[in-house]
Amino acid sequence: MRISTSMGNDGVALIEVDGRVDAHTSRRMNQALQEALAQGHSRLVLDLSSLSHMSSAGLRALLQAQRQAVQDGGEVRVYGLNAQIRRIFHLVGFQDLLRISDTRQEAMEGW
Amino acid sequence: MPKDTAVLTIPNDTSYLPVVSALVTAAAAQLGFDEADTGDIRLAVDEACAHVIETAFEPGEEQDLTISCRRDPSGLHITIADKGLPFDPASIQAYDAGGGLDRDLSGLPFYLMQQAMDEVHFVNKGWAGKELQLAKYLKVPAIEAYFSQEELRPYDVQVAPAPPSTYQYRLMAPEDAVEVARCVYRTYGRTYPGEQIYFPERVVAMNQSGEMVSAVAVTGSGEVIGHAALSGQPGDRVMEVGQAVVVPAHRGRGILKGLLDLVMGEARRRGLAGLFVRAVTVHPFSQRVSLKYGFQESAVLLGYAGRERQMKGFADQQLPQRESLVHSYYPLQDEPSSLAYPPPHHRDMIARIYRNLGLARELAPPGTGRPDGEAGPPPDDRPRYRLSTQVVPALEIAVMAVTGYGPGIELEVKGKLGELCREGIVTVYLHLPLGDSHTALLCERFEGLGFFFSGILPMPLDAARGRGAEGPAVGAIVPCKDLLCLQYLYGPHIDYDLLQIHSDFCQGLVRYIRAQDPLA
Repeated sequence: MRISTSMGNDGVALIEVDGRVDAHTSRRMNQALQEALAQGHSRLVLDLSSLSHMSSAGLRALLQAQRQAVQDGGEVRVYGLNAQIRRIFHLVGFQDLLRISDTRQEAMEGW
Repeated sequence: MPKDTAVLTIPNDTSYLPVVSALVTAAAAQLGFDEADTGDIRLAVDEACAHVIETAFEPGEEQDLTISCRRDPSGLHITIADKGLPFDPASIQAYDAGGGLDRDLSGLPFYLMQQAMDEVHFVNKGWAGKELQLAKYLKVPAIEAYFSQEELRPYDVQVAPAPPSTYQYRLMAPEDAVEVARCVYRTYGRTYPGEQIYFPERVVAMNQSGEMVSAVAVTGSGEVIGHAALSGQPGDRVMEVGQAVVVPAHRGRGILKGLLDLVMGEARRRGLAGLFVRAVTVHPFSQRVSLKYGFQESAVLLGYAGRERQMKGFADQQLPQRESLVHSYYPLQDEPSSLAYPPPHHRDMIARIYRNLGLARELAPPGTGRPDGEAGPPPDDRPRYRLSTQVVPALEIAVMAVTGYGPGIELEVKGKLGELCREGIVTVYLHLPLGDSHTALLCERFEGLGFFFSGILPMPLDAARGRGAEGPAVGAIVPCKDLLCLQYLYGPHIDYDLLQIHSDFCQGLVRYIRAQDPLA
């Protein structure tokens, strides 16, 4: 898994997650999310267009981040999910908990 | 290692999860699963392995887990085995996919496994460790995809006989499978217990793998008008004869006999040790046929198959209750006498069943406690028990098989029984080895859990799949391999008066079973 974060001046952090998020690698994603939140970025946008696998551990990290972000007045958004990851998100009912967009542009709109 | 199984052993370290993922992805793709199903399998196995690694071991403990991928014509069967701490599936919290942000996520891994796979089972094996068993079935077109509803309408049983024809009996060719499925469908609707028969591609694959040996009857013009088959697992020494169907317009012409002669001859040619049939009790016809062919009754399996008819046009044929089956056996080879350890209270009935079967079995004297003749309390000195469970979700039944006794077996059976009932299983059969003296000692304890007598499932001395018999000691009588079958009815109430039983012997067996049934 590869993860990179770019912090904007508008309080939005763009986090790109590539490869597999599983029980082993989810800790790193969780850490990246929590660091962005701790630095005052309550608006998190995750680019998942190169993500190949998302396990329950990754979903847990996402939901924890969303709880914190909402509490801080922001939210977590994701975009670029492949068909399998999109299916998982719908399977677990995450489409009702966080905004899922097709493109970065859509994800960045309407804060 | 069987050719249909790939096995991978990894350390209990989540950094190995991608390796497991690569294995199951390759196995799924090789079997023909599409991308979505392959993704589901990858997800479920990843969750399953992560669960085992994170919960089965003490911190810092270095252990292995073994992932087996077995493929068969129905799909992919994956087992994750470990020797770590036991796990109680009853402790799993339900995951609510419609919940809010504060939803409980502890049950999420199991929810994902269940959503992604067709079957998920936790099997505790005592000292032998535990297994997480997952299965995903291939989506192959069922018979409804090949024909219109009109072409699949039920046969008119009053139809005029077909013009005279000569019939050819032969093993099924792959191109016959669609017509075989249509014959079964038009005869039974969607109610035949072995649902594989409705998937022509699967029937072809099973004939190729040896899980089925299908025979067809064909008219002079090439129309398939009958079918019968042997079925079992590749390497089985005893197979089931069944899936017999003859188109009504051709009935009364000895076609069933032609088909059965062919499959029984094929069984002999393949060196099988025995055959069994399971005849329905909603009418006595199949029981009459099996007796005519020399099969003898040995057990009655109550509530084996559902009563519901699923298809329009067959709705008026709903059975009055879940279908019960008469199990009958036919030995194909002579065997030397072997030794059975009947529970004392069933000794007379078991002796009668063996007499009816005509099998050479010596019954160990009452009170025989152990193979060395020592009577006494149930054994707590044997190292481990062996218990396997097979679930058939389509029939809502399960078979638990004890293949070795040891401390904790009764608790394990009790726990597994509860788990199966919570999963919606309504009938559970328990197989106990009659050649093990502990069966005589422990049968009553299992009956204390609500199991009651069903009968005997005879097995040849070399019943073990894929290997030969363990040779008997010279001059010594060897333990038999037969199984004592007990049954547990969680859901269905059986009205014994509705069972249509043909023979006097079997009527006596049913009376005996009824007297044992705690709910009768």
